[in-house]
Amino acid sequence: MRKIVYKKLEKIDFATTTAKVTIVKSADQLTEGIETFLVDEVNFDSVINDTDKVYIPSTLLNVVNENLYVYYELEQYPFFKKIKEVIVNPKGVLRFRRTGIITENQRLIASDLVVFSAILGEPLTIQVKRTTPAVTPYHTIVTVNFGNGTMAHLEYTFSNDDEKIELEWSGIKQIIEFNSAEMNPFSLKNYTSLPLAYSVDSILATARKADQNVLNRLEEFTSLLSGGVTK
Amino acid sequence: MKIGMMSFAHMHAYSYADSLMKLGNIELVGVFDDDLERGKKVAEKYLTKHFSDQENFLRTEMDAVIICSENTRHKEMVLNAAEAKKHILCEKPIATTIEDAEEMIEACKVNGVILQIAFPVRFSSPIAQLKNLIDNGELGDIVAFRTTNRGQNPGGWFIDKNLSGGGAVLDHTVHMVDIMRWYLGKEITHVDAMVASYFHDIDIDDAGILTLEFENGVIATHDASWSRFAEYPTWGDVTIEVIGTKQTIKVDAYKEHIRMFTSGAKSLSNVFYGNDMDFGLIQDFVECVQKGKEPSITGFDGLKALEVALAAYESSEKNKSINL
Repeated sequence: MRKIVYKKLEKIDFATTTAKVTIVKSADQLTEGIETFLVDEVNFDSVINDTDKVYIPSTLLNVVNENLYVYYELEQYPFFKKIKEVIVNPKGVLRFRRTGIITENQRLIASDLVVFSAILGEPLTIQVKRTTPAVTPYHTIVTVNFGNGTMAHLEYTFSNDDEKIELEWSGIKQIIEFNSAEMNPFSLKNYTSLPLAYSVDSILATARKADQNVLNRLEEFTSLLSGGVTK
Repeated sequence: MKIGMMSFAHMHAYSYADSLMKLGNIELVGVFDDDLERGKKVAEKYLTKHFSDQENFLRTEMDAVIICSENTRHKEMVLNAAEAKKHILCEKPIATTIEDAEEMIEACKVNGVILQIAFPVRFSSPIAQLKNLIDNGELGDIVAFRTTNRGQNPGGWFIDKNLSGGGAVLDHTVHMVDIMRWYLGKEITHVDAMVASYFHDIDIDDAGILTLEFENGVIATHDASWSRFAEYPTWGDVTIEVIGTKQTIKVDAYKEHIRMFTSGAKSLSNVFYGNDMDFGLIQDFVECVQKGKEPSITGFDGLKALEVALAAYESSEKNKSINL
């Protein structure tokens, strides 16, 4: 069974990818006999079939299929995996922020909420405040009260700036800080997409079957965000 | 010019007194402090007289007083000082209730004295530079703010609600609300907040996040806490990010530092070398008094900042949005 992974290629860290991967420009170029393909496009509907496993980011999920697998981008980043590993007590204040050209923004925020909920508990309240979408940059504030005692501000600035992620965790006797602009191993940043890159291995290892539960979960958060839930 | 100081309960009193000493043309005529041991000690340090009686102190000839008492005593001291016709610099927050703050503002107006509130962050060099950039249109229209003010638990009377009126949210919200109002020239109309006690085993809040909306639709977040522990490289932070239609600029008032590594429990220390904002505040207050100017930070500014901090508690308690 072939594995077909959809992702923007600049996000893939090939240095840490051990899976044997063949890059193709479109689904037409898929061949038999090769195990894993990486496809740099979003039109995946055409390749969903009974024999291939298709891996897509959660932001693109809108159908359920036996052979469709979904992965959450945030979970793939090595920095995020490390943060998950080192948070000793999920009680504290979380500040999370994404900046840049962000497409499928509602689904992206919903996806992040799925990921954070798995670590910090089911949200008790979610509140959304937005600036005027017609004005750039467009800023969204999501205030979340997670069940396990975490209060959080998730913020998204949709603009033409380079992609950036910041995360700050103020816990009990533990403070964690990450800023992708500061933690870049290159001083000339245009030579690398690190630290906002991840391996194909990670995608294959963390993706879940795109079943109704996964879709419902994303739909639930997307709908909460659209409705602008208030306390 | 003659200045007296009323109470050294708040640690900022030491830095304000140091600033007075640096100015040179100021006579520190006395210190009123009914904590006798503390009062005598600071009077000795600053080569001035200690007063244990407030009335006697206020009968002394002086132009102005600096009040650094526990928060709930600001009102009593401001009313007495105003009655005695002394100009006043009052430590933040102005008071612990809106009614008290209004009474204090009115008393100063009636007695014709200046009431300035101690928001030294306005005198941080990078914070002031960003104000100039905004005023010059470099950021375009402001869309949103992101601010933080996180520090260590000061302990003592700060964690006694009867004396402080509130914990980290009161202590660490007013500064950045003042800066946002100053930058934007608009008032906050909606406050949503979550307030909790996480980091210390204390009966008062030590953490809070606020989501704010201004009258012109600008939105903002603020993180106020006493989450920093002694081993953290710095006391805490004061940051603001202004998201504008032309560009976004972030300023950290304590960013100017050297990293110092030493062997021991606290291996890394960020040693600040930026400008002394407390000195800037004192210099400005002295100039206001000398020139008879309207204070750069008024009692009204103190009141509006207090309003937001108190609304944060109300929002958290009632689990709803508070309209101001």
